[in-house]
Amino acid sequence: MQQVAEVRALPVSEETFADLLKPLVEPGFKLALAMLHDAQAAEDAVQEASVVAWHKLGRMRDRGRLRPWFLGVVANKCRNARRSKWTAEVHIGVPEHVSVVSSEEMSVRGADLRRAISRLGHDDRLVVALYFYLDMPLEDVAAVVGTSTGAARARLYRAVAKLRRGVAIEEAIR
Amino acid sequence: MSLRTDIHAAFEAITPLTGGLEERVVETARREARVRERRRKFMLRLRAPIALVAVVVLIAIVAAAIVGGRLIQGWYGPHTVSPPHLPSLSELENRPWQHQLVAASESCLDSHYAGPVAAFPETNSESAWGIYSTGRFVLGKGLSGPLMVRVRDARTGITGVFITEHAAGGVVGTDIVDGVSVAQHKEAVFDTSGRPNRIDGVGQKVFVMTMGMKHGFSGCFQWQVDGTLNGKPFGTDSYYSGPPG
Repeated sequence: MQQVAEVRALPVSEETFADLLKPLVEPGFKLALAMLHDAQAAEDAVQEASVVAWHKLGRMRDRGRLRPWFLGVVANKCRNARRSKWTAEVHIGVPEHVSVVSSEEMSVRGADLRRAISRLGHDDRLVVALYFYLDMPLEDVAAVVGTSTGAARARLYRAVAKLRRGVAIEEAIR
Repeated sequence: MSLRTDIHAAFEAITPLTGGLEERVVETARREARVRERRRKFMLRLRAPIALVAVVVLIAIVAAAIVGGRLIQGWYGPHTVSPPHLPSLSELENRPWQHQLVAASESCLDSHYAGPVAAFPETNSESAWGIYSTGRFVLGKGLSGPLMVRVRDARTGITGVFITEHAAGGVVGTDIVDGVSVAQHKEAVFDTSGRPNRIDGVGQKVFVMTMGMKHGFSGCFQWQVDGTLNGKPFGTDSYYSGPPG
């Protein structure tokens, strides 16, 4: 999925690594949270992605592509996490009854939306999280997903249509 | 509200305080990377010894396969026994006489049998030189290669001669026997794998030869047979007492 331009490994000092990684932790965590709906699992995914980044960083030719590449690694970790039985059973999102018993409309709407997002497929959920929650432009979304911008836009259309039938898609995706 | 706003609100509702998350993640990654690096270096150091062990194990397996293959081939394959060493005539000639001469005060043992070889004197002829005795040698089983017969006076040590068929070795003289000129040889040789003069009733090979003793012999002969019996050097001697000549 991720096309990382790799060249001969260059040594990366711990300080350099820390400087490069720190700005990526928060967006990585937000993406993982949107994908997994569980803070601890999200932190674990970011942690695992960081270890991968440590080993691969020296081989990256274009450091400008670090952010989409790192988010792609996080997305893969999330996919693996959701594949595991434990995660599937325990971290599947907000229970159904929340939307029924909650008295606060916002809370109910949020829970419904999270549940709807969690029911999307991995790639659909990924483009939704990147575009709407991390506020990334479609070009960057495409870079993370590893597709063309057009393909990313098409996937986003389909995902939004599944989330909210009748929503003004053109208005949602600008 | 827009979809974007709703999604932000939905996830922010479940986002915990993440104070120190960046430092925590970076530090853990750093620690994990160090552990992996140490493990990688350890494996690199082990690579050479492991390769060496692998080579030794491979050599051992190949050697075991070769040795095992030969053993199995030896067990199940046709048994090839190397042929026994068959002595040359010169080797047989060089074998010493096995027994001392018989003293004049001692009686002459009379034994025609010497292991797998039996001698039977049958007819005699006399010449100006000496007395000739034609007899037959019967060979038992297990003999192979050339079989050499020598004879001498058991009391004086004067060697006898062999004439006509099967006479072999160096010529030591000539004589006229029954009107026929003959060469005198110092030994007789039978080819045990060759064609004998005849086969007896039990399938044993019979060779006929004529030996001669110079006039003045004591009447006590000692003859010695050398050859190969069951693949091993075989030698025996025997005595024959006859009328002194």
